[in-house]
Amino acid sequence: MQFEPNDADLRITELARSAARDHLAPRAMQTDAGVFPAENIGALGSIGLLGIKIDRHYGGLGGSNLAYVLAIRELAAQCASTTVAVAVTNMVADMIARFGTDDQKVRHLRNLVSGAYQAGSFALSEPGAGSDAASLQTRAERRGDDWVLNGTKLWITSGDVAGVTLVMAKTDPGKGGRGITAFLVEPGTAGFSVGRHEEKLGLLGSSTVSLAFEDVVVPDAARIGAVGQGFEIAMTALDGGRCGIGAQASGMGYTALRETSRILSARAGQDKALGTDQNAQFRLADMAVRLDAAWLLVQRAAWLRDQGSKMTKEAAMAKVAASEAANFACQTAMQLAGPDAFDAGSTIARVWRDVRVSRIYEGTSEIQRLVIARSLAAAL
Amino acid sequence: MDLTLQDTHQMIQETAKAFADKELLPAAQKIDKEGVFPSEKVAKMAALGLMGMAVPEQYDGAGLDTLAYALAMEEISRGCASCGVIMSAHNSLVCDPIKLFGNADQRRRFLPPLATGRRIGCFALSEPGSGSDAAGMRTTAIRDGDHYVVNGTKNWITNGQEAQTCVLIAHTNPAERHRGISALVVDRLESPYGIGKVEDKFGIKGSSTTSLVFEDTRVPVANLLGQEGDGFKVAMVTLDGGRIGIAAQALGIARVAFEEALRYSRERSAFGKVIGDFGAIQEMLADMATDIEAARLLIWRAATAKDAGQKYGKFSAMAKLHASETAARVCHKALQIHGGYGYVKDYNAERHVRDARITEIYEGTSEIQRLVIARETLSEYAAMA
Repeated sequence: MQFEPNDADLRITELARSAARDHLAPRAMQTDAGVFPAENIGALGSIGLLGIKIDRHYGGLGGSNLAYVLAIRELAAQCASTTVAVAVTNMVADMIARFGTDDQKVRHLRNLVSGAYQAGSFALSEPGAGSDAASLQTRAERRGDDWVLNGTKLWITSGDVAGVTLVMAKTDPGKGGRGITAFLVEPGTAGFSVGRHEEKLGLLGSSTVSLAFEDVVVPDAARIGAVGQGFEIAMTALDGGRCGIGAQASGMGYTALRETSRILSARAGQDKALGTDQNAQFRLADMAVRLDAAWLLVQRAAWLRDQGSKMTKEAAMAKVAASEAANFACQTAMQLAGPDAFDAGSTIARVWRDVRVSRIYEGTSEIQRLVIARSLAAAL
Repeated sequence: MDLTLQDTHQMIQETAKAFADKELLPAAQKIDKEGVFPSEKVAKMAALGLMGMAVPEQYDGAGLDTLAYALAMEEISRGCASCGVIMSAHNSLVCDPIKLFGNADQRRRFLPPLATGRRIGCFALSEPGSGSDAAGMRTTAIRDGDHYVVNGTKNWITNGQEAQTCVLIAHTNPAERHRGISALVVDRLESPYGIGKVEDKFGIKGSSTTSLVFEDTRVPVANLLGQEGDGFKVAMVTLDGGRIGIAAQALGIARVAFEEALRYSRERSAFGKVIGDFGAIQEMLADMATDIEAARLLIWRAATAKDAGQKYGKFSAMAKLHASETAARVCHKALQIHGGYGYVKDYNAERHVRDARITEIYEGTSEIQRLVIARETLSEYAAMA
């Protein structure tokens, strides 16, 4: 048994740590002002961090799922807005690598991984279908050799800047989950447009938009995976994506812990009574334990995925535990740090806002618990 | 990272689980009800090597590592929490310090009878007036020729009634605090001491908890562990390791409570469906399972670090804190899922609540674990800055 990552995983972690320190950290406040972090994306693309698991042949790092979560944690510790865009790009690249044809890989992977596309985006949620993905309404109808897409997608990260969007649509409405097929849609396709830009509580540097599909015609070559395989692709993406969100949340949580430690130590220098206050110490301990417990769950889920094991339950555990531990850590940091942290420009204030959505997107906490409970019952 | 269990570890886990399934689970309710030390079970555990897990084979032990110990402790405690604490105190608090701090003669004399289960061990640190604040103890061991003369009372001693080998922490130089404390092995047959009050407890009723009364008890100087003044270190090192055992005990208790609640949730119906299909119950079960699996990872991390010779004080404190609080929460929810049946003794849910509670208290309360964790965390970040 071995808890430390191996050398290959550590090299990628170190690469992410130094990139985060050199590129993401100095621009974190500017990004938080609502500027899409194009320069960060370019810098990360030039060293392979937009395709962490993608084969070197396509410019990726050929890393493991464990390396992926380790790297995402490092990036998110400095700038979550950049990281969310990076994570979705990695996810889309990963799905094309897993399910795509050779032509699709040639067409998109290098562009995604190098940062030539600013991002990839993943279009599953709709106005009426979030957690209940199988009930989505966007249609794709066969017309000759082509498909015609109609519908609206909501909450799409990087949807306005993506070079390619992975879209889930119903091809057989009578079949529920098994009637869903996935397509790769490129910007500029007639009838495909970006709708409303959401104004969010946090992750202000990442864009979240709705996408409209009005008689969008794509060739059959744009279909990824078999007809009816879309739900499987989405769930595979989410199993990996949930590890990614867990890692992202952990990164922010540990930043809150680090900042709180710094503030308490500084206070101890000035006023021992405040800095070594037992109440503060106890809460700091709770932050540390919950973050470590969750971070171990995240690493385990990623490691299981590397072993080729089924890890839907473990990914759900990782996601719910890490997002809730990180929210707890950021909330507690805000409370312990006091007025300094309430300043809008403070790191604690930023992670406090940025971390909240991790309990919601890529499956709410409630959905994760349902996934876990169903797996438990099924295993009896 | 590699979370695969090696063959030896897998074998230990399977052996302990099979034993717990066959011998402990069916007996646990009776052991709790009668509140009698389960001698027959302990003898069988000893025959499997569970009473000297980390004792080297030359001293008749199983010669295994901390991870193996944690795995076995989880399984045994899942079967019977009382057996778990008997095993934990005996292994972690008695065999380990004698192995770590004893000289060759002491190991030869004391370890084989412990490892084979011919003798039960106990560890005497707490006193009526000092628990977490160990340095505040008052028991003295004053040198008189070839002996120490021990006077004082020790409290909350697990296995106190049955133990014949006692690792005692006492002041050899009362003028100093930490530095005046020493560790002695007291052979009860050779150096008789009294058993005071036998506690009537909330849980883990099959294990005895007593006070020990020393009145001019003469202990040979040859039984001093390490040097005079090493006692505080012996106690702290012993507790660091012991915490992994208690964490694994808590995990075992949490697991059995969870397993029973999950099964019950699939059997019991209300409003036309099994209660396990209601969201409220599903949420509880999901949280229970997640906490249990996180606790297991924290325990394995601490055990692996200890086995690799790395610093593991913070890891074991985290494992103990998280696992014990998980056990308390999980058992609470398991009882809730059982409804009224959880409150009566036909089911086991109420016993698990009682058994779990102590894991938040002994071998360092949750509050002490938090202090350890906070100090380590602050100093780690200070070192990075």
